[in-house]
Amino acid sequence: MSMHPDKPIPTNSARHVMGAPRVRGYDVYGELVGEDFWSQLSLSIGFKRLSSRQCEILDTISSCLLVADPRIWFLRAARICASFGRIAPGLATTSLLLETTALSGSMKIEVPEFYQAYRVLSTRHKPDAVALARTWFEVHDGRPPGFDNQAQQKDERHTHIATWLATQPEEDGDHVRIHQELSELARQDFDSFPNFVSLVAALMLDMGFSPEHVPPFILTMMNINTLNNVVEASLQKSEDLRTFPQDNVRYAGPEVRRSPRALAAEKR
Amino acid sequence: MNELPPGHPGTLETPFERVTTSDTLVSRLVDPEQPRRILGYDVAGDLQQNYSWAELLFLTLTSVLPDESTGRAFERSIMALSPIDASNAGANVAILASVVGADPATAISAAALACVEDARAVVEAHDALHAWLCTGLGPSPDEFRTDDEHVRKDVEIFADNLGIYRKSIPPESTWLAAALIALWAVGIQSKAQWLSVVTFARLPIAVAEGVSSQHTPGSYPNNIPRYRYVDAPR
Repeated sequence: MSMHPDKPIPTNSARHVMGAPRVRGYDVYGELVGEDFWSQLSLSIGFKRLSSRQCEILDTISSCLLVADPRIWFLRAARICASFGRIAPGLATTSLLLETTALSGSMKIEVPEFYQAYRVLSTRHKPDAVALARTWFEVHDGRPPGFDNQAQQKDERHTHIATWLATQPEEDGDHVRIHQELSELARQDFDSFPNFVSLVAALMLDMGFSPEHVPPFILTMMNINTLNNVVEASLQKSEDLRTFPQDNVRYAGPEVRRSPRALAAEKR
Repeated sequence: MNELPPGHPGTLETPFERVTTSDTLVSRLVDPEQPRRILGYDVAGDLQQNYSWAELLFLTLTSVLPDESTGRAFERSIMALSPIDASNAGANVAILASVVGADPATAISAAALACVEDARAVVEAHDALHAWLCTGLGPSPDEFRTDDEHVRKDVEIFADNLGIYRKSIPPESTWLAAALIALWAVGIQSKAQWLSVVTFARLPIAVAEGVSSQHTPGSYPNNIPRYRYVDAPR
């Protein structure tokens, strides 16, 4: 869409007012200096400033996501790109992979949107909501985003967030209860288990966030693991990352051959 | 390397030991033991002597070497997709990279990212055209036709340049639709292949705009398009 010069692009994001930059309606130096990191992020993506309790919840979630083994696929890709000595290519690579792959549904807005739809439906007629959930699981072969564990049947990140949550009865909101219902449905009928994405989505919805706010938070949290890897990789500059060990590469393409044009030239 | 003592975190089991995975990385195009061959063809003794770079690209996309008519039509389709001016996202980002003083590698990386996103938008905008090509039924969708005489004239010349594939191009096609239909005609038919070709076609111009040209902060029209900031409600 091309904008006419008389129709500027509307923005609530920010304006660099000389000496007093504004972000989302706040005077940065007058009102936001010292703001908690998660509150800065929340405000920046169009939600609101967070309470210290909300930041504490996000700190807990984020710390439970500190799983950064360099063999995790998207972190491996980050390390390869960073092994040439720069951090940014690794960070960019993993951000793209996190946003677009099905891996754990990490960045899929589908999860919080489904939870929200389930809640609305269940307040009207609970059996309809349950039927919707069953269909959602069936169309994803029992493993929709948020329930699609890869390396392990159960996601330990989910386990630890849930364990912490059980000690925080005041955080037992509607979406967390929905998450518990769906987790039970998944276990009983589909032999699948939730991962952290669905629980984080539920917690954030209960905190008042909209579905579109969930992926940026998860991306930010997950990119702590990316930075963990790319900083080290950029310093190590490992040859084995730049070029995969050749002894472990197997060729599976066509045998040596001549092209049709080369064969025709030989006949002439 | 010193062995770690039992019980050390570096010796404890992880999920990666539980899951059985291959111990080899499969290479389908180039044999590490024959590093100057692509899909079995010798680069110096065969491909360089008998094929163009565009035909090599066709080979990598399809695993098949094109005949001469197909190779030429494919090359001309790439050329048709190539022109982008500075308003295009890929070129624009490349120029911005130059404005901020990025080194060439960074400028190319940034331009490539924007070019891929632009190519994705091009392919998505032609979803209905792809569906029409898949069915092969009826006339092309209206949105991919134009009444613009200048475009029609250029499309006619382009179609003439396609040789035996000339008749595959509806004369009233938009320029981009004509190029994508030509790709379909020569056998580049999946959306992933389209995405690749559009990206490869446009990246050189984007890079040339940013990397090969000098841009200064003052040369970039930073207040266009304009923004209208309004404080978000608290």
